[in-house]
Amino acid sequence: MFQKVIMVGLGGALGALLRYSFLVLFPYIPGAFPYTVFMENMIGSFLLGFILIVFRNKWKPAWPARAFFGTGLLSSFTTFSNLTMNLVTLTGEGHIITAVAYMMASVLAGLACAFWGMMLARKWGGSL
Amino acid sequence: MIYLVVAIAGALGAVSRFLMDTFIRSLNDSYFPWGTFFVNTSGSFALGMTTALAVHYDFSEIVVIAVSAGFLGAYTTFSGWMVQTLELIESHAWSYAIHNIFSSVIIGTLAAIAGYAVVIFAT
Repeated sequence: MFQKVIMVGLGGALGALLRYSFLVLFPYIPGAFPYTVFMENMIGSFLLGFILIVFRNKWKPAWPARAFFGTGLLSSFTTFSNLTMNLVTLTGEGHIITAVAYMMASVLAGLACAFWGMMLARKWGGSL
Repeated sequence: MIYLVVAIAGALGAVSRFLMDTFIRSLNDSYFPWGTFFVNTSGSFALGMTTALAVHYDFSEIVVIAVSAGFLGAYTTFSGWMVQTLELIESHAWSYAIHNIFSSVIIGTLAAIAGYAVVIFAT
């Protein structure tokens, strides 16, 4: 348990650092569609779907890696609270269409990205 | 400096999510991912509060970024939510999958509004 907490913490630090760095590189423009967080959530969903299948089927003993990459890095790289808060601020500022588009695109494309990640891992694994 | 603070806050957020998720899972044996659901809605509530507090008080930018982008960003998860929904679909638990999507979006957004409103009314 303690080792797992350490791995999650290290992965979480790196995930948050990467997410924040992309936001510094591509800053959010108030009122606009939040492309940066949207892309981070898509990439994170794709990669989490991918590694979950890989760790489950191919490298079962690699639990420290799973805690680091899965629960730590990729879960922290993506964010849910930023999405819901952004829906509130966009709606509050009158950008209702952008808010609805952001919400629907996040859910639909997010599910698709996670699905593609899992599919690719199964294909790549051959017999998996 | 800001990057170091975000990394430390992110580590704390991720560990908090892991511990909270493990705790919620131990309380019930449902297929429904209540742990992630609780983490995401409570994190949305807290970000609503943080946003309102940042508007009303003159916190330094580093504190706001540490809490919002660092801790709460890492505490809540989008990818975990998506992957768990797909796992529900793959095990044909369709009503749970739909419930997970709609409840998270609706209650998560309401939680963010509630967090914001609590601070506005209290100050």
